[in-house]
Amino acid sequence: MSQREVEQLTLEFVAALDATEASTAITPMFSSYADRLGFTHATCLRVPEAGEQLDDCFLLNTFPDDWVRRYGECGYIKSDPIVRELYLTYQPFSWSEVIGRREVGLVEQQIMAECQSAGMKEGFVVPIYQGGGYTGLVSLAGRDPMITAEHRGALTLASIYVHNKLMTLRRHEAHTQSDLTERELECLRWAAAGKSDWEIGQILLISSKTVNYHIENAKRKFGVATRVQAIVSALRFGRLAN
Amino acid sequence: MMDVYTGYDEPNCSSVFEQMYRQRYEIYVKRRKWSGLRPVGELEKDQYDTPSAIYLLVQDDAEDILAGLRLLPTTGPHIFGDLFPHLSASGVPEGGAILELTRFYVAPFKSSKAVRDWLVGVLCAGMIEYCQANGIHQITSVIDTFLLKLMLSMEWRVRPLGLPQRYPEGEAIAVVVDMTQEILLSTRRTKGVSGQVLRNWATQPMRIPATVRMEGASVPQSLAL
Repeated sequence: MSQREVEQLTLEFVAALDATEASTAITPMFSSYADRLGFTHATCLRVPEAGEQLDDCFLLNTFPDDWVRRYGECGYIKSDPIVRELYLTYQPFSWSEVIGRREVGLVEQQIMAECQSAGMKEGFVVPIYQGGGYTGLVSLAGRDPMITAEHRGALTLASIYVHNKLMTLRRHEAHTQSDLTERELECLRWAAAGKSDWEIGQILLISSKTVNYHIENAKRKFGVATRVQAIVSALRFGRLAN
Repeated sequence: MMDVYTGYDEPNCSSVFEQMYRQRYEIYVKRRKWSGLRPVGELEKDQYDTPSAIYLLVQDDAEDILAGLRLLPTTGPHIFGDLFPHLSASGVPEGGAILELTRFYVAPFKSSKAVRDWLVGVLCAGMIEYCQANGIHQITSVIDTFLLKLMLSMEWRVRPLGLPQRYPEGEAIAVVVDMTQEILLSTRRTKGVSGQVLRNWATQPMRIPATVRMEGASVPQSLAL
C-alpha cells in the first residue's frame, strides 16, 4: 500500500470512528482497519483502577482466547518483554525493536515462541500516556505486517482515537448508571484533590455548607458512608478520570 | 478569570506580556527544547507575536498568568501555512472564520494534576467562548500527540488532516476542530469548569483565587490512577 493509501485509509477510519456511537461497532471497524495493514489481532486496554483485575480492563480484544488464557495462567505479564518496555518509554514501538535492543531471557524467549506459533510474529504497541501517567495501551500483532515510518504514524493515530472513543463511550455508559449532577461531580473532584469544603466553596463561589450538601448527595447516590468511598466510587465509574 | 489581549496591547501591558514570554521560555526552550526558536534573553518571542496575534490568558486575582494560548489569523502568516503545509493531505484551511491555535500552556508547574487539569479546562472553555463571541467557526493547529489526547479527552471532534510525522521534539500532526456549543459543554463537563470564564463576554466571569496554586495537596496515593 502506498503512503498516500495508508493516509487515506487512516483518515477515513478516524472519520468513521467519530461518527459511531455504538461500542459494539468499534471492534469490527478497528479489526478490518488493522487487517489492511497486516495486523490480524488487536487489543485495547485501560489501566486498572485500584483493586481491579487486568481481565476487566479489556476495552477491545481480538487476540486468540486460548492465548489470552494461557498468558494469564502462566503469569507472563511479569516477564513479557513488551510489558517491560512500557516502563522505559511512552513512545510507540514494535516487538522487533525491543528484541533487537537487548539480551532476551529464557522465559521471554518462551513467550515469544508461543506468540509465533499462534501466528503473531511481529507486533506494534501504542502506549497511551496522558497527563503524567498511563491511561491505557493499544497492541497489534500479525504474521508479517509492514512497519514503515508512515505505518507507525498511522497506527499511532488510529490507536489514540480508538482508545479515546472506547473510554468516552464507557464514561457515558457510567454516567447513565449513576445520576450525579455536574455540581456534585465538581465538588467530588475537588475533594479528591484534597480541598476542604471551605476551599471548594471559594473555587466554585458557593458556601461550604452547599459544598457539604452536594457531597452528601453524592454519597447517598452511590450508597456509601464516607466521602472517601464516594470519591472511590466516582473514580471506579470513571466519573473523575479523564 | 480569562482576559483577551492582542499584540496591539503589548506597549500598554508590557508586564503581562513579559510574564507570558518568560513562561513560554521556561516551557518551550528550557523544558521541551524546541529547536528553531530564537529567544531574546529569557523571553520566548517569535515573528508571529505581531499586533494581529490574539492572546487568551487565564489570570488569578493577583494577575499572575496561570495558563495561556495564542491565536493567529489564518489570513496572514501563520505556523501551519508557513512551516507545516506538508502535514495536510488536503491543503491548509484558511479564512476569516478560522484561527490557528499555538503556544498552548499551563504555567504553575508545581500544582497538582487536578489543578493543572482544571486550568486546561478553563483555558479551553474560554477559547471556545471567545470563538463563539467573535464568529470563529474553526481552529486549526499543528500539535503533538499529547495535546491531541488532551483535546480528545474533552470530547472534542478533532479532525486530523494528515498522518503524524516524527520530529526530534515528538510527533507533529495537523488538526482542525469546529468550535461548537457541544464541545464547549463537554469541555466544561469533563474538566469540571462551572460557567463562563471570559471577561467582557460573561456577565459574571469566573474568579480564580490566587490560593488555587498554593497547595501541597494532591489526589491521595491510594486513589491515584
